[in-house]
Amino acid sequence: MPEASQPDIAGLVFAMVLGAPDAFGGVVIRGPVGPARDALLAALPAGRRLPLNAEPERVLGGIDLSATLAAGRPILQPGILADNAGPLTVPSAERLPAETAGLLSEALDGIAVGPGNAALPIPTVIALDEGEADDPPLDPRLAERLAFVLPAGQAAPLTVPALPATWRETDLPDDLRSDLAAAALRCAVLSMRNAAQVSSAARALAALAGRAKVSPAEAELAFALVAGPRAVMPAPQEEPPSPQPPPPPDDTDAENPPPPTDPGDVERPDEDRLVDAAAAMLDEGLLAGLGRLAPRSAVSGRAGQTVKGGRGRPAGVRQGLPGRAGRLALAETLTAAAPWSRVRGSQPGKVSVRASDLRIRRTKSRAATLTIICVDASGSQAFARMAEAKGAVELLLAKAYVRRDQVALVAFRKEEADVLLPPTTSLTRVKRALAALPGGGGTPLAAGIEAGLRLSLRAINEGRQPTLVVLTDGRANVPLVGQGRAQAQTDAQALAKSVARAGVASVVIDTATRASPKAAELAAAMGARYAPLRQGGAKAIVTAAEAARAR
Amino acid sequence: MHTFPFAAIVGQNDMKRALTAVAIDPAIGGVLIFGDRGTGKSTAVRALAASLPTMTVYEGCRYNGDPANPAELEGCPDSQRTTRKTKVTVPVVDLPLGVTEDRVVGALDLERALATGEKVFEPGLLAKAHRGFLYIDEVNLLEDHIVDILLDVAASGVNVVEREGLSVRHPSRFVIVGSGNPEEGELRPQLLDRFGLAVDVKTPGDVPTRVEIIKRRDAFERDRQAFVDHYAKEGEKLRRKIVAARKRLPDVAVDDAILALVAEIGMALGTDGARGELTMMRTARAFAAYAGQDAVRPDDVRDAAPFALAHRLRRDPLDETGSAVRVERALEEVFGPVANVA
Repeated sequence: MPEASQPDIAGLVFAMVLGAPDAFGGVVIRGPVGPARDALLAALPAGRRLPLNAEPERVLGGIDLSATLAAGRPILQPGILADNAGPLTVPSAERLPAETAGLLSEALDGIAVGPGNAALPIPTVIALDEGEADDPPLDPRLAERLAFVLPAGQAAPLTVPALPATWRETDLPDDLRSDLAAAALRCAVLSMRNAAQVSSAARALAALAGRAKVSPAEAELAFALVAGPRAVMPAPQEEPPSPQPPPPPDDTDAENPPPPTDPGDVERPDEDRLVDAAAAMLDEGLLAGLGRLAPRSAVSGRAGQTVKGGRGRPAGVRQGLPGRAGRLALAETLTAAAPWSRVRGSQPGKVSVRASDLRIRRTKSRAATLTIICVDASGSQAFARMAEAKGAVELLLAKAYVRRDQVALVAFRKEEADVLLPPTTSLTRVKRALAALPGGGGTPLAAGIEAGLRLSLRAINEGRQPTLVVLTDGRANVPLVGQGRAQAQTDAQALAKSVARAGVASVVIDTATRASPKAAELAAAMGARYAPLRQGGAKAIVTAAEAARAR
Repeated sequence: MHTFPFAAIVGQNDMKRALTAVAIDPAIGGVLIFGDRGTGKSTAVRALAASLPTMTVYEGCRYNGDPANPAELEGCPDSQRTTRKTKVTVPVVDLPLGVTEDRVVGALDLERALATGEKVFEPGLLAKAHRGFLYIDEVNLLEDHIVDILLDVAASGVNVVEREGLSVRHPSRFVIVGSGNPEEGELRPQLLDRFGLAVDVKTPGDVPTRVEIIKRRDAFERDRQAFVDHYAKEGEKLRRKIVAARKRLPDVAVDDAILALVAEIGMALGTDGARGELTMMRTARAFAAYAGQDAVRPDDVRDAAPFALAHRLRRDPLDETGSAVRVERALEEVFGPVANVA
């Protein structure tokens, strides 16, 4: 166990990131806003802040438009990155747009350039990750480049020592190197960038301790600090016996209550019965999350989002100040200003431009998502929850409609899966197809997933982003070929894995009367979100909610 | 600033081979590098560019026009300003995620327009990348309309700008190198097909390799000059080999038996279109030139096939077999078992 106590650790981490941003990038401070975090941040020297909505021109530097207009000659404005006084704090870093995160990553790699191709200095990034368990994680490119993670509850350092300039001269013995490499492999911390950070941290820690050679204690601490938060498996016991840093405080909160268990359902008659759609409630968080499910990674332009502003295809010109809303449209600006030149008293041949003349070019990126809904219309399903499943689908449709997503509908029952509706934006068509959906027969779950997967892959090939929503109780009994319940389950699992491999974002909505492990297993294989369909119609839910409130 | 030397990169032989091949024959097309973060993809591209022979340009020319090629300089405003030439390293231009179209293709020079009222074109990244490399990190996350522009320019070698009242065209020939992580977003088949070669890079999974990588990194960071000097000899050797291979390339013979072999492999795999076979042939030729041979041998084709074909196979969502395995199987069909191949 390294001797460093809690406040010392924060002090050491700060010393390293402030002293050698080129080696460590910075630190992620994870946890909610609060006095503990403030105390921690107070130990840092004054610096700059990078607001979430900072425009690329402000980050890298560019032309200062208002000053330029006032002066009548171009006036350049250095970007936030140009000024390297103190650390660069990024509040709500988990919500940083991919574009800005990309720029920061470039700056950390030392390849960002400002106006006039001037190389920008490498900043010390203090990323404040305030994300809750369900929020998207910090941009992975950025996360990889920031060596350290400190929980916001970490005790504030009393002093932040200065990192000796000669820290790179510290000797790291070969046996420690091998131990570190072996430990990283065992913890599945595979990135060589992180591995380099571990070795740098070991040497920096030794230098901070005034030693010329890294001792095992410093190697342990370095590994714990860099690899600990990234480890997939717990660090192996035998070597190095590194202390796990305190876990990030955000995960275990009451964010995710366990899924409600079903209190049983009223029996319904069986096969081929048409059931009317009834309202059902899905986990509100799931609905809200649907739009941002797709790829589990940094994706610029989240699913379904219509980005207006600097990126995307051109979509006309309008009056306005350049910036996030759009880039300056010069020709149009001059055209707008020209007729007023005389009135404004400018010399012949010159145009006087006022702020009101400014025109910006709007752009628009395609909202290109497809929600594929695979409904289990088998007997077991129709029997129990068909009506509610339909209600759930309608809720999904409403959400999809708001985002102008395309929707495709697949139903599987008896022996096969049918694409009831190829991708469409017509909500009414989906509703009609849904209302006429008969239920009953076996559960060809594999065939259903296959049909959904095929639609997904086609969508990907067309440059769209699919989200696969499977409503089922997970009880497959019709295999792709041959017969038997066991084979049916195996096929369904195999197909589910194909979905995960294809990287298709997916949700499994468990429609079983009682929450069943089958659907959860399916979701796990698919890499899908799992959500049990809550019992009772919308009415019942409203009543229950009122009762709960009254208490 | 010193670049990490190409010769100092540990392992990653496939990536190094593919990059060397396109450096010898840019007609092969780009390279797509699949793999995890932090595997030194960007480092390798930079390192290769730095070890290529320098190129001559007019001083201050933002279009990297080749003074030896007058056709390329026609209408270039920069090269007419001076007659002084200078030698520069082969450029590696990074295309950041979220880049705007303006920055890629170029746009009206706002400064000049505001200051002097002149309508002047401010060249973009495509001009900067001319005669060099265009590196796109996470190409699968790049917006479609940017990808379309890049592929169009990469194929035609000319950037045509018709916007903001400007009408400009300038040469833009570059080797496009894209990196991507297939788990984070699929690439469209059309896009895949446009990359000449594809390689998989993996994070090294053994301790000695990882230790060696970190050691070299450390040594480089500690004293860049000394580190670069240490590898200077090897770098010079590589440079000479590439120059020699470029010179030899047009004379490397590709006989009919080799062409038949290429066609046979293509047929065995059922690849769509002739692009894969053409790329396979060119890559085999580049390998042969690099090895100092006068003619392409069957082994060169065998070596080239996985690079040129693995990313062009039609995907079957239900087939779990990786495309690399499928290529290997087809090669065994054509060449016989692996044992008799060196």
